[in-house]
Amino acid sequence: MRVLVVEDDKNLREQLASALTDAGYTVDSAADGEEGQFLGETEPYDLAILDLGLPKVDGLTVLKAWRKDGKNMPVLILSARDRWSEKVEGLDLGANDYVTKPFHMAELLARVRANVRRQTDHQSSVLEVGDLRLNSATGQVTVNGAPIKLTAYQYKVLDYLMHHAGRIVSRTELTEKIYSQDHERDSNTIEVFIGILRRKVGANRIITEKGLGYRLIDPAEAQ
Amino acid sequence: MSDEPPGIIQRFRATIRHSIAARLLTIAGISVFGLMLMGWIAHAQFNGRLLRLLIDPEIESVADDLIGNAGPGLNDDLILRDLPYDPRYLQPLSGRYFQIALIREDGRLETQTISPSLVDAEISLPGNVQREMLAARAGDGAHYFSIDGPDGGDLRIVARVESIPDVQGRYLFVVGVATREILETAGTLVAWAFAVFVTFCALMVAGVSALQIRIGLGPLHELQRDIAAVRRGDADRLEGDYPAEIQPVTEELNALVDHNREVVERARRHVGNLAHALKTPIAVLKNAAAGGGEDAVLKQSIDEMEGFVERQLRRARVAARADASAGSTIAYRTPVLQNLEDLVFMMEQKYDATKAMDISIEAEGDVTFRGEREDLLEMAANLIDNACKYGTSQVIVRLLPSFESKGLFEIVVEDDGPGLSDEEIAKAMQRGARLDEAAPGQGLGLSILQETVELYAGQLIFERAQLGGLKARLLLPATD
Repeated sequence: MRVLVVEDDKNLREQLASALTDAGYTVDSAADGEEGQFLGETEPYDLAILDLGLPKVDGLTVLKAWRKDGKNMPVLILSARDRWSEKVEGLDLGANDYVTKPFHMAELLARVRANVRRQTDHQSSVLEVGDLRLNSATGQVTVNGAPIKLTAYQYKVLDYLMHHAGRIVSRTELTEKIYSQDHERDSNTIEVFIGILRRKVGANRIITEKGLGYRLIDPAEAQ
Repeated sequence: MSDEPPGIIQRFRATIRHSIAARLLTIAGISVFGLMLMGWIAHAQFNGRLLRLLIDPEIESVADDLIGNAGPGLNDDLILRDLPYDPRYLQPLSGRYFQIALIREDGRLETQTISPSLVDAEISLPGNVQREMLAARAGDGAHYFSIDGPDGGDLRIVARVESIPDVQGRYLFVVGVATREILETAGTLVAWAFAVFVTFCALMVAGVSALQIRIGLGPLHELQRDIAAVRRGDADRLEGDYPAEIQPVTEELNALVDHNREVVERARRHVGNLAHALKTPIAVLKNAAAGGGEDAVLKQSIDEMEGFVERQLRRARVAARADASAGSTIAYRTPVLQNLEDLVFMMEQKYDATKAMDISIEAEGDVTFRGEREDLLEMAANLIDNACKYGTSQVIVRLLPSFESKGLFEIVVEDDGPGLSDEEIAKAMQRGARLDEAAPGQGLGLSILQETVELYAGQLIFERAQLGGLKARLLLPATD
């Protein structure tokens, strides 16, 4: 998996590169916005880490250019600026996550892991269960045409459930699939994710099979 | 030397130096004193003038009368055909006298006639008067002198040398009036008038001084009030309409205020830039420390640095915001619900990888916040972030148009964490509570939140949540 790091501070860039390399990623790095934008536009990346305060071209402009160009790899913004309004602005421009400096490398790696696009997702596949639609190429989820905002883990849970629509998926199975590379997770978190997803896509789409797990259905069909 | 108690002059000088009122009063006092001095001099002058004015015409006319009445007697000597009308020339020692003397060939005076009022005394003419009059020729006119009178008092006399037709020789006519009585009466009158006048003047000067102090120094009091307003932050600059004399001072003060503000602004920007600039190296240090051995001291120091930077930046932001809102009354309108939704999604992402948090929004409808979007986001984010940090898995954000107090709406953030004890809640609700000061980088970040809430005259209330954790109620002004 290829990751692009755009960061002007040499030390931090090298730390990021080495940490990511250690974690098994192939890392390209750029020291300024111009180079970063060029790399992002020309190379296929599974994720980009983008500093906002960059020389030559600033991070938000780079992000805007990528999105305009149709580059929809997950982008993780890295910035010293920690105003919430700035974070919201970054997300509005199409960033997938936001990490404020200074950060813990472990946390950053966890976020990278959560956001990085899986190899399989490169095949432009669209999953549909009733009017619930998931486009794995763009990462977009819609209900009856209306877009739903999901975090990386929420997306993963839904993606897995949709891949196995109509089938019972146990909690253990979900935990293993979702947190394959992470440390031991509390199975309770799956319950929380299911709760969130129910709220976002509609409670009647995800049925709890007592003692067994969850099942994603098309409520229109069930009636 | 310095131990000595200050002399009266030094103390007076000190008073003058320290009080404009004392200065003005001193000037007024000096004016009054000068006025009295001038009055006294005028008074002395007045006596002389009074003599000429009151007495000289009278004795002149009496002398004319005598000369007119003088004629040859039986022995070719001089006799008076009639005495002056004024009976006082007849009453003994009445203070009005006349005397007629023959000027002999040898230059001596031979008294011929004296007024009955003189009884048997004579007006003795001092040597200088005699010399002057002996040198005079007949018809020379009147000569006036002040001499000692027969009764010991001052005597104003007129002396004339005349030749009387049909009478041999030249005669010296002297008419005198004792001045003491007349001058005393007039002097007392004038002294009284003068005293009344000076008192009146002094009172006037005192009154004018008082008015000067009150009215003249009035703008200074106004200036003081305005400066106090600037210091309190109620006003940006001194905007009053000041007299031309104070205008330069206010202009200088305004320049100083502007300069100070600029310096503070620059310092704040420096701090902000510094804090931002420190973040990247801190990130590097943090990663370096995490990579190597577990050096707890190093890690703790880095955490502290991080906390300080964070705190400084927030402070600078709040201060900058306070400045901006103090200066302008621009009404901002910020829709709340959309911003809360964005914020909640941000939080979901923030905690996505570390902790599954179910953050739900319950809103009956949208409201509009009368304030800046950035502030709304900061305040709400602070509360939601805390709720996510301390909550177990669930956070509820409610948006309520508040019915209790008009013009306010409410953002309620509840979590299912351990919450705060009643004591801690009470402490957190105190104005300017510093629950978070003890541990940098830890805690609720409440003091900064409080400052922003106060800026909008809002309210922050903590209660126990139904979910079990903390319930924070943020009341903010809504637009009408």
